[in-house]
Amino acid sequence: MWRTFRSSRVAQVGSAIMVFTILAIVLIRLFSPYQPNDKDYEAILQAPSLQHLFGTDSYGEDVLTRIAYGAEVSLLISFSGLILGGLIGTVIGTICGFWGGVVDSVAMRFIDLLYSFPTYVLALCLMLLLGYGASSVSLAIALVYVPNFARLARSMTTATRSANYIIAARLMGQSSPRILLREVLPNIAAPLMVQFSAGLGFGIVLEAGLSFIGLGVQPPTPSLGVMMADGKDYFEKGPWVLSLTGLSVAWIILGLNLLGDGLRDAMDPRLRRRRS
Amino acid sequence: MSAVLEVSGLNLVLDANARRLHVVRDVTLDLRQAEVLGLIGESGSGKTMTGLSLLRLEPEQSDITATTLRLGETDLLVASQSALRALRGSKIAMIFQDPVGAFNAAKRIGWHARQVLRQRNITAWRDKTHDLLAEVDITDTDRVLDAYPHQLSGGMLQRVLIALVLAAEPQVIIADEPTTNLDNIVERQILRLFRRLKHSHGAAFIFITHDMTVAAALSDRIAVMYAGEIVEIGPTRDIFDVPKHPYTIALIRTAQALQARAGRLPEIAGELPSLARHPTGCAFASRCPHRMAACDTTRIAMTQTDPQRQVRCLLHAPA
Amino acid sequence: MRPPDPPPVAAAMKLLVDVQNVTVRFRRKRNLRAMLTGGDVTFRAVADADLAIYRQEVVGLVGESGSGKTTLGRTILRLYEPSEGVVVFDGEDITHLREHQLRRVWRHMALVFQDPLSSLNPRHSIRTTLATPLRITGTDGAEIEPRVIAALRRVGLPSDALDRYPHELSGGQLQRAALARALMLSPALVIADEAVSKLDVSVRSQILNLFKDLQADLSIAFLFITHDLHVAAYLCDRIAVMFFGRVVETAPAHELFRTPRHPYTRALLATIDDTAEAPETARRGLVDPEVRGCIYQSQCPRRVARCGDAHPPTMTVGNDHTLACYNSG
Repeated sequence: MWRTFRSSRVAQVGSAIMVFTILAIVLIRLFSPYQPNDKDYEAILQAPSLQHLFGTDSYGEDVLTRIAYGAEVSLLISFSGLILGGLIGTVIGTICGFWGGVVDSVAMRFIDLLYSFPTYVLALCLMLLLGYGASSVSLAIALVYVPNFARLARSMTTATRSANYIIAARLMGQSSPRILLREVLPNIAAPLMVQFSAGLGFGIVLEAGLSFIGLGVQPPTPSLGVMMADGKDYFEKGPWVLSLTGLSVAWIILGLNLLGDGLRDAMDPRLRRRRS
Repeated sequence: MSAVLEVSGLNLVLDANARRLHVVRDVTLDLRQAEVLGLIGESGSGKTMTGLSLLRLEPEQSDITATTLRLGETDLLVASQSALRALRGSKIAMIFQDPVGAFNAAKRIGWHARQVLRQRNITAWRDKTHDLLAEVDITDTDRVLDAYPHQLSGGMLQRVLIALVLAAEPQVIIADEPTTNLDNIVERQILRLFRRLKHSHGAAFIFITHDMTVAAALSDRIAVMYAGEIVEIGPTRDIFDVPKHPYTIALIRTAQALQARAGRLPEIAGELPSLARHPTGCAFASRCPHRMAACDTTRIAMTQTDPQRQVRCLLHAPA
Repeated sequence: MRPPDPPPVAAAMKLLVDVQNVTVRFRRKRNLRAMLTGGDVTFRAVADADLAIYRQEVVGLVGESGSGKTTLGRTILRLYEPSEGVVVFDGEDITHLREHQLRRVWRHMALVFQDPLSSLNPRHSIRTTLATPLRITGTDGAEIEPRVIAALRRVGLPSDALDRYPHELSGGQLQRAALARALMLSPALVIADEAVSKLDVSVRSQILNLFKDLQADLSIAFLFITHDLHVAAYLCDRIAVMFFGRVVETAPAHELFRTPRHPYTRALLATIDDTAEAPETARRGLVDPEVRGCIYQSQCPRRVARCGDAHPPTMTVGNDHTLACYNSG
């Protein structure tokens, strides 16, 4: 499977993009002469130049540096939200899938309820309860993804539950928690990982969107969404802020999506090598 | 009698996950009208792929080549997709191992019959269906037509499938392990059915199976396949009386030993070779009790040992 | 002081599995159509079955698909719970035990599946698969590897198979691995459910020979479920024949072949003997599983009026030979 992944063109491009991005973030953080919040009122709204590779914004802050820090924040938020949502959702899903019965029926109804909310509405409701800020965004992303992972984990677990090797595992005398952990989980991990990498991309979109309307990451923390919000205000005078930030977001999402696609292709059982 | 199906030099290479599997090697056979050719082989022998190739239903990621691949007057290699589609079902048809998959689980049998017969421009479909089902020994026609696929047993479904396949009166029927999933009694009935149909419809059959006894009961001629190649071909009685290829001998011995309830069954040591790395010489060499040095290095061609028989083995090759 | 071991003859006659009047019903999924048409809610896979398995003997359970043989085998393992009847294992009534109670009993039983590939966890190496039963029962870590290697050898697998994954092995090798796993805890009973049906003919002989060898060496009782009479005859001491959920006849293997009594058994045997037209084989209509009377009526060439009243009781008709038929002649 790993070999398929490495040989997949899609995965290669996706990985290249993400590796490049992460390297860029690290290097910029280390070597940029600017801090993201360094205001230079002498140099506001400067077009890209040798001193400011991506130009400056309306406060004279270096756009490239802000993008790097902002991207890091966005990625961290998305990542933490996905991990949290993924873990909770997977646990709920596997328990429901394995045991079924009343627990399954009740829990899945709650999951369905969550799932039926439009994403942004759900996120906004949560923000109302928790207040604004980066951690709230992270929790919102987690909440959005709990039903996704729960449903996926549940259907995979239900399918696996009746597999012969699970019956064999029961006959060996394995306890149910042990079976879930050691027998079921390794077999459902693959689609869950694909879901995770696909979700990362959307998490970025969600975060950027929420920050764009001012509900997400709060200044002074740099954020791609906030930058885009600012950038749109003075787009005629300094188009590079909005455009370059937007392009960066697109770039990151592209990389994450390709990575996810590559993972998905690698998991495809048709492509997996079997002795015929 | 002229050949209804002519195949020579058929090769099929599958592109599976960056490996090329040569699943059908240089297969040459012909099928005459009203004859049954038994194609015997185990999993990995290439028998199913050969069958699919004859209908041009080979998998998408594959290369098919042949010197000749003709159904009557039609060259199947160059025929267009629409031409092939017109042929399938009407001139050449296939009966699969698992009948369940051939039916739409949400529709009654009657619906299926109507679909098939309407497509062949047959009106008065209910009467014609009665006749067809009677031919496959189904008497409770109304009840069967009203039933859903899951309500019928495997044997029943297989017979219905055969009836529907026959509706179009194809010249060639390729049956791929049609009785493997059925119990002995039903299997016998279906085999008897095939025998009868051979005479009444004049259709030619290619009967693909791994079961020597079944093939023997039904076939006029037999072709034994191993690792994608035909290793022996000839009249059924001759092959069973005097098998020549070591693999054929081993298969027959095993089948007979099981029936005789011998103390210990003869084994064929080893495993099938990988289809990605076909050895230069004989594919069976590593498992053959008569292996010689030349077996591993020579590309072995078919030897005509009798007017009707061919064997792919150095033991029978001219000196 | 431990009492002396009973003499071998007595041990061999000891009853290991006793199935009495077992009926297994399943709830059919209630769909809209069923509710509207008042369709069947339960489906009876096994009806009033009796089966005895003695220690160290090989019993064959023969029938077509749908005969209930797999269900019966799994009910002995208590993967299903009987709706009626009793399952006794080694003197203990296990009919209604719960899963956590069954775990203790399962140490002495094992199941070998028809499809070896699906019976092994695709993400576990063979080593892991074989080591798991030992780990669960608290075997000392140092002992695990040697016992795993010994198990491999016993089934004829090379030691480099340990690090392989199921998708890298062939059907024959997989079934050997499955057998090795089944034997890890030295069970008293191994149920093989169509264990050779999916294997090629050339490999089948290897595995059948292996079964024979193992049975001789390890003194295990086997329940060999198969639709293939050839295989059952080759391997088994005693054979039970099932039809549509009922056990219609049981007898020692050689006796079953010499003097089959039930019309269905006769029909099955006729197919083996390869005679062109077997007189006992009747035209097949649809079998009604809920019919009043003998389940085989619609197929039976020896049907008499009595057959429609009630299903014939199982009678003993000879040496270890049981039969459920009114008119076997």
